[in-house]
Amino acid sequence: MDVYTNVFSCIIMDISLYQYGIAVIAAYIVIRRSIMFFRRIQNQSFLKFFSFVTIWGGIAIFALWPSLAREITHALGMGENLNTIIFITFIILFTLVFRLLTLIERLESDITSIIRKDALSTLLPTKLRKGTQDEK
Amino acid sequence: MKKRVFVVIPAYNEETVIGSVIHALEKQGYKNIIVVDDGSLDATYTISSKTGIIVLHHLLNRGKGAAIRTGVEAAHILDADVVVTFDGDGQHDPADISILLQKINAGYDVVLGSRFLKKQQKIPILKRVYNIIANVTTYVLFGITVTDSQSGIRAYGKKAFFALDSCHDRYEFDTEVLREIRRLHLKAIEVPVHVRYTAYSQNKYDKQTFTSGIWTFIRMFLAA
Repeated sequence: MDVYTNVFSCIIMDISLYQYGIAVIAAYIVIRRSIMFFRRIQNQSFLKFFSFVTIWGGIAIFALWPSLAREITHALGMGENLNTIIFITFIILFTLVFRLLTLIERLESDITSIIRKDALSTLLPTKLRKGTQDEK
Repeated sequence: MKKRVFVVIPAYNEETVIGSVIHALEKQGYKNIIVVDDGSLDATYTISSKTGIIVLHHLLNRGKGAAIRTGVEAAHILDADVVVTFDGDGQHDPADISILLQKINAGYDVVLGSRFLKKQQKIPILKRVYNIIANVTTYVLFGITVTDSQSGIRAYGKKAFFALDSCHDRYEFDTEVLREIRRLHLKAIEVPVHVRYTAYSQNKYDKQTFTSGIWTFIRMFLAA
């Protein structure tokens, strides 16, 4: 009984409201994705499902037990270099986002070019009315 | 030698008014009209086609800038000397085009219609606020002072056609044109034009919203 009370009070006392909030959001996303995957909704590949569950599951776990991150870095022998790892991770993420934005912009531009080419292909000079329309 | 004038109308879901806009232009004597249907989901294409003018169709919605560039390219293929852009929602007065053309004849490369140079016009306060923000942003980013950076009624001389090539597809297009005017040292001027805000044009769901305005703002910074 005492053990259960201690565990329960530990969870209640040590976890802030925002941690619960993050965990609830993460759990919602994981459940939603799982339902989409198991119902075989279109575009739901196993890779997508696995990525979502891993990322959002990880977020939920680290939100509820933040000390786990420190324990893992110690176990991996990284010690106090956690900040450096976080910094490098941010740089990698920003680089990826920038590359993705560049790629999206190029794709958008390519799509517009194709759409324009298609639109102009229907253009026939004979559609012009006889004579030129000049300024009034 | 008289100049060959083309009016380009970018249109997206304008079935309610596009017919009357085309007829109003024809009534003013403009026969070289190009409507670029920008992937409309309604009968914009069908209605425009029935009027006998040139109608180009984008299979997907690519934005106002993309539609104008398609129209200008078409006009260029058809040997246009001057291209006038004209919004498809009926807010502009076709009679103002002649004022723009006078300035082109006077040697300007680009003539920008300004809704705010004409006094005593009923312009919603929110539009005025948006316009001030857009004008200040244009000045900060490109060092150009204009009274209406988002105007849809503009005239481009032949020299200015290619200035539109490096502009983006969406609403930031209007501002980017100003950047190109400065970069390419084009001769530009603003002239006062009428504007009519109807219940239709105000309630259109696909107009620039506050959120899309913020995105446009961000893209303008990225494009600067």
